[in-house]
Amino acid sequence: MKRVLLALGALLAVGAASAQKEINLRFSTWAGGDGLALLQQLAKEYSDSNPRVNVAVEVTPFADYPRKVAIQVASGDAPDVGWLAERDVPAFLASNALVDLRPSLYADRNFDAADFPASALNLWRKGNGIYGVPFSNSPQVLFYNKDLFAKAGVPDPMTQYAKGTWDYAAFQKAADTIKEKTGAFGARVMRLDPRAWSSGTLAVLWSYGGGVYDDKFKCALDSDGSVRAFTLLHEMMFKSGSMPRPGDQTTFETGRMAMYMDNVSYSAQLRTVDFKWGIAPMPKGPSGRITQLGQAGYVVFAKSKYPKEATEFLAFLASKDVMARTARFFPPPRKSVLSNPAYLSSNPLIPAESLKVALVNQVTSAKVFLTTTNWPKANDVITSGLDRLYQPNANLKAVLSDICRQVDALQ
Amino acid sequence: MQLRRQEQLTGLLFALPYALGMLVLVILPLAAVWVISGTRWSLLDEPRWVGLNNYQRLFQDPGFYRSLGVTALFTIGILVLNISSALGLAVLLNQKLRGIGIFRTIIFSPVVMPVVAWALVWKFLLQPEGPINQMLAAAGTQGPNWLFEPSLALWLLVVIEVIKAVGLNAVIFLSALQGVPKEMHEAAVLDGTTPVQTFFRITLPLISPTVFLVFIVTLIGALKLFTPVFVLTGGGPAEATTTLILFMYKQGFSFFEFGYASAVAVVLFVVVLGLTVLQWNLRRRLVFYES
Amino acid sequence: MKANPYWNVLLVAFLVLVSVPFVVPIAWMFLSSFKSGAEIFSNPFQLDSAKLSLENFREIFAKYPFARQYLNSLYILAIVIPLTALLSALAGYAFARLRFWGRDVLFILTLGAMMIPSELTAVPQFILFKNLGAINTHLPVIFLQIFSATGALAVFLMRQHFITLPKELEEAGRVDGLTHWGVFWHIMLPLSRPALVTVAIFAMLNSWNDYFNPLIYLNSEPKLTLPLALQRFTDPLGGVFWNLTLAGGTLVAIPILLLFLLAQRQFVASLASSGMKG
Repeated sequence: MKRVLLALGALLAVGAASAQKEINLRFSTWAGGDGLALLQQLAKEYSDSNPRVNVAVEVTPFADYPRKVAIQVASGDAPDVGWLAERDVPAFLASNALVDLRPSLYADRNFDAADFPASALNLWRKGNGIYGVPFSNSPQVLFYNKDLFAKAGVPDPMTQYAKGTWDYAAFQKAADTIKEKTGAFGARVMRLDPRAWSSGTLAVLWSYGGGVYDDKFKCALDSDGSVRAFTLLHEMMFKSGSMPRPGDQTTFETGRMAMYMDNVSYSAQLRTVDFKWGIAPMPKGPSGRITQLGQAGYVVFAKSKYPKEATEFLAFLASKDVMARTARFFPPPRKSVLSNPAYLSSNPLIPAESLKVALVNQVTSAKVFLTTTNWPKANDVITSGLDRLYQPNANLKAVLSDICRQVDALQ
Repeated sequence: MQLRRQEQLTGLLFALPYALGMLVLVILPLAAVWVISGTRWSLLDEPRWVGLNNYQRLFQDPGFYRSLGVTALFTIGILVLNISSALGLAVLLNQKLRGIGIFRTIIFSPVVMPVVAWALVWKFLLQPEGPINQMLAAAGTQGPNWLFEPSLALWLLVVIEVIKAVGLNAVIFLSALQGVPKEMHEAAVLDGTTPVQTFFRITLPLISPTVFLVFIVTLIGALKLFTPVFVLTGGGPAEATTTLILFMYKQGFSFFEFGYASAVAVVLFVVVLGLTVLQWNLRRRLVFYES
Repeated sequence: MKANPYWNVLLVAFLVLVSVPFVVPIAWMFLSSFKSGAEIFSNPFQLDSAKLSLENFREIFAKYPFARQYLNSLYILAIVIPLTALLSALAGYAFARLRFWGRDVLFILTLGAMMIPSELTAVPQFILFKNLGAINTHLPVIFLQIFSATGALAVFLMRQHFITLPKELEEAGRVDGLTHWGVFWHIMLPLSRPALVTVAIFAMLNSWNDYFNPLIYLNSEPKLTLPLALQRFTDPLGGVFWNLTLAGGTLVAIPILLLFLLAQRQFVASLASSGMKG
């Protein structure tokens, strides 16, 4: 009898415990695989240590993330906390769809806002507010195929970098030589998806003193620096053929591509390849060695029913301890985490020294791509303009001027 | 009179389970879309009433007219190629042959392939130095950069989509062909008509209700086709494959102009409904069997 | 057909030729399921058995809730197919054969529903289902299959079918004292097997491949259906693992393909024997 009563009591206690969870937070993400597993683990830890709060992780494929969240927000069913990619930040800011974290989180001593370089937060600022915390602050690095470099007898990028000779002229020469000696492609700058042309290309533009926009958000794609950068890419595509043309599907992981620019998280694709590879800093251009910082951040959605609790959960995710754990997949802007030896040795595929030289040391000169709310439209114009630019006989300056005319007309 | 009342009631009762669901889940939301088309709304903020502004803007938008043109070419291309090859394949697959089931399955197999995998294969095959161009090179000609050639991309999409979808239509035609009585053919052969004449004079009219069905299903499918185009070309190169539905999608979910996208949607709906009513009337002249 | 042996050889040769663009993509997908991510693109048509393994399949079941997602898609199919068939047969019969108030309007609306892309009506539909508390359940996915575009197409198919059945059958039934329901159930429906098979095929394919509605309504990983599940084989930041995606794609395609291979003879025959003319 007593036993039965005890069991009943236990049952009641369980019921009470779950009844106490009066606040259900929804955390939306596009993370996959091990990254998702870690986030789910974090949500569980948080729910366990906060008796009133339960956090559910919601997943959406990356490509469809903005439209799903937009429909949820429009229908009054917005998640509370979520990831937000760089490309979507201006639209969400312009619509006041995010909660300003400056008076809460950024004022919190434990959070230690000074641990973030000021430039890392530019994307998330509007007026006096700061509307997100970047958790992933990943500079584009150069992946290179050691076997192909050895086969072609070209000194590899890391060696050239150490000697101080790793610039875009050397990059082009290496790529052309490898193409000539091995038949493999020398380098890929653009992603496979033409709409994602800016990843990779931007770093080249910036290093040549060009860019998409100038300081006043006027189109700078036809500036001298930009034209020189595009000339380099065009020559590699159509003169030496060392760079694949748009539409070519050859990827770095096939072993038929000597160099490729991407985030460090791309290394997950290289688990099973049967060639030796490494990462190196991007080449240097006339205006410096400026790589692009790809960002994604945590935000609290303005339509959340529990903005206070959501902000608290975000504070947990963005805390030093937790960011040190997620750093394995998503290098954060926190200086304390990046300088920590534990971070440098967290990727089993990349030696600590490489990570330090190619990633950590580049963060200071790297730039985040700042855009306006018109960016999706501008990107559309530029993407279809690049289809005309990457033609064998294209007049680069003329095409780029035409693109700029259209982009500026959008403002 | 009693009977009429009974028929009234039964008809309503029969139609109601589906009709109620449709009215609530489709027509009601559609009415809402019509209202939304009078607003400026990013989905993320509050909608603001702008009246007919979106329509005014739409009718001045060159991108809209271009996408109308692309849609027309694309739809006609799909209709012609899909229906003619489905008929041709159905005749082929209707031959008495051992192992014909294997061929039927092969022709049907693209229908079951997930779109992501389908698009991946074709991008791979069609890349500038891909298998298809290597074959062309071996034959002594140089192939183009297929999916990045504005004049080619749209037609290529038509071909790829027909390969993907024609199997289903072919099977439907196949079943209709098997329903054509043998005696008809035999009589025709006795009269001395050629097989081709028999097909066009006897078989085709007999299966015309099926042709009509397939026509409608294919037409609607072509107008609504989104994902395969989106993953293969994303509307490029240089907007050459931006159909109306891609145009709408871009406005709504890439540019966050949902009110504007809704106006596109309303226009799309009116166009398609007009087309349907038009060929609904044509059908009376072309299709047998309907009283 | 003439019993000319050359004719058959020629026919087979032609069929083989025609089959090439149809068989290459799916063969490639099957083959790629057994390869590593790098091998898929470096040696796409290589058949070296030493490099083929079941590792991808092991991984998608071990590291992802793929089995659960597979079951989701299957059970949704099991609900959607019979309900679509039943409701569309009833409505199709009413539209084709019974005169009642509002019939033409309802039918035109059905034609409309057939043409509406789901992206269009997503927001109002979402609000509707939210108020029913049905977000992150399979209910909206099932309901929207049965009542929106696919359901409307089914009604249209059934109506076109019933219109071709001779009126005399119905009159004979009525003379025998059957009610409208009796005529429908005992006379018309048994004659509709081929049309119902066609409806079932459309319902099956559209439900199995449905992407947009599950995307919008389902939030938690174990509730996803297959087309969404295929998009979830990514690295932490969303880069696609093609080897896993293609292995998953193979598992998605195979049952439907097998079903077709086994059923095509009966399917085609059943359509033919029952004299479906449309």
